[in-house]
Amino acid sequence: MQAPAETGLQLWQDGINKALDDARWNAWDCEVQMAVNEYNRHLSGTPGFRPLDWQLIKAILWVETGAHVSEWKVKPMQIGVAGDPGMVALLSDEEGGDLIVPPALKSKLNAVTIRNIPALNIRAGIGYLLMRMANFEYRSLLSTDTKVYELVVRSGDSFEKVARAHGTTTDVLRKLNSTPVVLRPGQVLKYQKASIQKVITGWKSFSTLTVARRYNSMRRDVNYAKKLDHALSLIRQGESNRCAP
Amino acid sequence: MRTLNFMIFCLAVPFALSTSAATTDPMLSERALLEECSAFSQAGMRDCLAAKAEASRKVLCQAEEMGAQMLSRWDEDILYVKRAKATLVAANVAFAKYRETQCQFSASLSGGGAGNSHEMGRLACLATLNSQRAEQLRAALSDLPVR
Repeated sequence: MQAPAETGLQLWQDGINKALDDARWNAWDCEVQMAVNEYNRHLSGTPGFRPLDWQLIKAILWVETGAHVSEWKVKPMQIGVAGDPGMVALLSDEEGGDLIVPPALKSKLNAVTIRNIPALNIRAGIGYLLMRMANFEYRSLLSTDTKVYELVVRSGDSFEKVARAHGTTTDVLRKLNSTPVVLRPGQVLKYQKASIQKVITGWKSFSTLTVARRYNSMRRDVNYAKKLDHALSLIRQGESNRCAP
Repeated sequence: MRTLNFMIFCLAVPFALSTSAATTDPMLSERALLEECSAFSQAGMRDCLAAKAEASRKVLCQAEEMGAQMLSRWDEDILYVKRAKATLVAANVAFAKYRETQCQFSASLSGGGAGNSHEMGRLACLATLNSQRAEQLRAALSDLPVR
């Protein structure tokens, strides 16, 4: 009786199992550790942040490319490939990339460097993953100038109009002034300088399933999370390159 | 632009190509294609699906050429033959337009997925629609009485 044909996942696992004996698969270990450390330092003050596990990122590299693929040496995390909206989303800052990527790194990331410099492809990939794992909200934040100012309400003023004109927010105006809903001309209001800004309010839990869904979507490779599990298991039992602290 | 390129390529295919040269099972579903290509890394999956899409494109070109040939040999008054040929050309153009939009939609269903997930969706969609269209043409013309 003929053995049943192997599934796509089994065939991929057969190939990846050979990685344990092949030092090329550890080629990016130090780069990944450095990159993860940079992000962990930058994001350590955000609510609920838990340091990212560099071996999880290594597992993503194995699933995205692997040392047997030519792209391993150029775009190991595959961000920025043809048809990928992820790189644009990270660089545009409209989805929170500006809060995720450390400023020193931000100045180095662009479409050309992400597509051609593997160390920056790795960093862009990690940045995109973290951007997708973060929870964001728009909140009213006080500026560094904490002085309390006063203004006089004029005819036709509304909270929104006054806030815009004086560089503050309606939240701050309502907090500092127990006034009725309708403003009256001549009324004196207190305010502090403030603005509405996007902030990180928390993080989704890091499991291989959430990482697979948020980084890859799993819409095309339903085995992505299982591949991550398998790669991570091999990585944890294998050797890693020693890196300078 | 893709539509135009596709049409140009189809016109360049030798007229004598036979449908027996088809390498893609037309009934192979998108899901089956993805499962088969899942044997590779994400970069390899994209290459695998690109090869499937390319093969399906050739199969469809052949089916369109065969369709035109079949109509030329159709045992019917020339008025109706000409009319059917013109309609086939229009249908092929309309299909190519539909395919482009539909496959963009398919790619968009990868949502916030980075890397190859969008392109893989587009390629799997192309491979499936081309194969289905080729089969549709064959089925529509297979029983045409010929001179």
